[in-house]
Amino acid sequence: MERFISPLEASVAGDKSQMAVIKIDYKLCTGCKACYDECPLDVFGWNEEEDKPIILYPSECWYCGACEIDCPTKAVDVSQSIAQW
Amino acid sequence: MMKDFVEKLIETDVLVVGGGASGCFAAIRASEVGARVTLMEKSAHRRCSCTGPGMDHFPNVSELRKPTRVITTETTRRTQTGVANPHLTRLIHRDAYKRVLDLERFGVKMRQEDGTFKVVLPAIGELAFFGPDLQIKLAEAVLKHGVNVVERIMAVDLLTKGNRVIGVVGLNTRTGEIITVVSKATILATGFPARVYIGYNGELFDTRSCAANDGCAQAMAYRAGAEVTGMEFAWVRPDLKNEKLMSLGMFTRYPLGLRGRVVNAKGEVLEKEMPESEFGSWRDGELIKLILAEEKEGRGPCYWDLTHVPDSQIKVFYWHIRSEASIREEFQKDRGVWGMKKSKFMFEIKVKPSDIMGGILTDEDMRTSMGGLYAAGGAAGIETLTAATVTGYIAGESAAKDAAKIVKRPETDEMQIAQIRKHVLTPIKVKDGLNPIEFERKVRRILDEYAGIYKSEGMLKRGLELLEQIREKFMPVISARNPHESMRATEVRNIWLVAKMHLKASLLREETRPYGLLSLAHGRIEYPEPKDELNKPIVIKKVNEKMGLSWRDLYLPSKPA
Repeated sequence: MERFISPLEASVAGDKSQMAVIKIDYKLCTGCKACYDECPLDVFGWNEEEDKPIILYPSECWYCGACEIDCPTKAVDVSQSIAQW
Repeated sequence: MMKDFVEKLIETDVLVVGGGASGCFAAIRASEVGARVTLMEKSAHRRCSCTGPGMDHFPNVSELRKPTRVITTETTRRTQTGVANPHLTRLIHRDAYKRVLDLERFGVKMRQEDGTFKVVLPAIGELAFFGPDLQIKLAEAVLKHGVNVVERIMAVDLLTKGNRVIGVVGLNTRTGEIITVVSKATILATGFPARVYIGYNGELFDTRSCAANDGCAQAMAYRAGAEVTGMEFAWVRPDLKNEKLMSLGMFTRYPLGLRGRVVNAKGEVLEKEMPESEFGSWRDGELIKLILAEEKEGRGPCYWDLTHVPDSQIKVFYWHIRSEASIREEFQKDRGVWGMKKSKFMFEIKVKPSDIMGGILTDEDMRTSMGGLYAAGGAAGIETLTAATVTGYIAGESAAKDAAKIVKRPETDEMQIAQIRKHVLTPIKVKDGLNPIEFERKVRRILDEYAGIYKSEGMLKRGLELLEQIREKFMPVISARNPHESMRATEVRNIWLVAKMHLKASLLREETRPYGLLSLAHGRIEYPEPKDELNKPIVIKKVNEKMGLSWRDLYLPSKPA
């Protein structure tokens, strides 16, 4: 249920995702939900209006890479945070 | 904005909590023995747990050892240093090969193209395999065996009747729905607590074991009245900086000349001259002590130096790194690690405590001190993929056989369910309260600051005091605004309890205990050496609502009444 968020929240979360360790290329994303369904830490939310994923909890990423590996269109990119240098 | 919680009831013969390697093997075996099995997984089964990102090694396969080496006895000795349950270690040596064949049956690529096994460490029979899809294959096998898999459900607490576990209350982390599972047998398979010390890079979720591992098995079992052990032991090993999945351990077990050297900042080699064996000439725990001493005395940091290692061996290491968790290869490329010239193959070494290596005390059948409760893998305090598969299999068999003897459906206590439900509902009712993650950060900072690699009585006592203070002051104001935060709020209750068990058990163990060549399972400043008379487990059990700790001579749980 409560994964639905308002467009405003979505835009904020979307902005955040561009700065965070996980980036989504919305042009490539087909909305298949693989990332949302498979993330073990529940980092992703689902924007029902756009039918696209959003990064809701970037600081809870375990860097397992499941979202990137399992994305069929290579729309997700996980990179290390500055703390990992 | 939260909807009302909807109640749902599942009835099953065997309930498995946790869908990683041990949970999958438990579920599959229980199903094979003939039980109706439900597997409850907090995240998505295909990518959950430590096996989710992939795994590449399966150690301790006796059949693949080179028995002519003197080292075999050496290995056995090292695995029995009083950290791991020796009964379970024996089972691992006995059954490992059978579980390799099982994995092969499930479609995991355990052999090389020519049909042979790739043995990377003959001394301990460590099999290297290609397993980026290990968890996916396990999840598929579980479904094929007719197991009812419920995903995104976290276990909140165990349901009990007297000294018997009769089920679990769970929370759907996406819908907020509360689920009651009534079971004749319950297997906890949720790994080592990973969210204890702050992660490798200062981040809370960049942990070694899967960051979803909050220690719920250990915490729930304790709250239900079961015996928990090994909670003072932490994973303290020299790891390659920024490579949390790579302990220096496996590399140093390669023969001299192939394994690289450990050098300090001045380039001086820490290793002694003539190794007696492939393990080198170090005593248990000696290398980690040397590394820490170099840092303390101003000759740090230390490095793993591969500059003199032949290219063929560099390729072997490269293979290990990329197949264990393929995403990390990308990170390494970003940092330029593997792109470097051979002359620069120097890896900085960092020692940082991570997982707690404790679990529920079990016997050889993975039965615990409570009827109807079983544990496997990290939840039983034992590490490696081998241990997870072997103990999972046994737990599944014991649970299914015991469940078959129970005819009547266990009667649940509504008051008890209501009490557990309250734990979930309370943070939802708190408005503008504390984010559970902030509470978690504080608990984990207490561990970093007052426990750490070398602990002392005064610091541990102060840490315990602080833990009690934050519980009183902040736990009641933790708030959850959605099911995701309800999950985190439920987790921090477990994390707090695990932290307390860790500090209390560390206080009681007045010695320093190495674990194998490279690890320091427990360090005390006042007692820098291991004591033979303390080569036995500390058992933690709730006594009159208080945390009771006692020494036990043998790794055996009390028999359920």
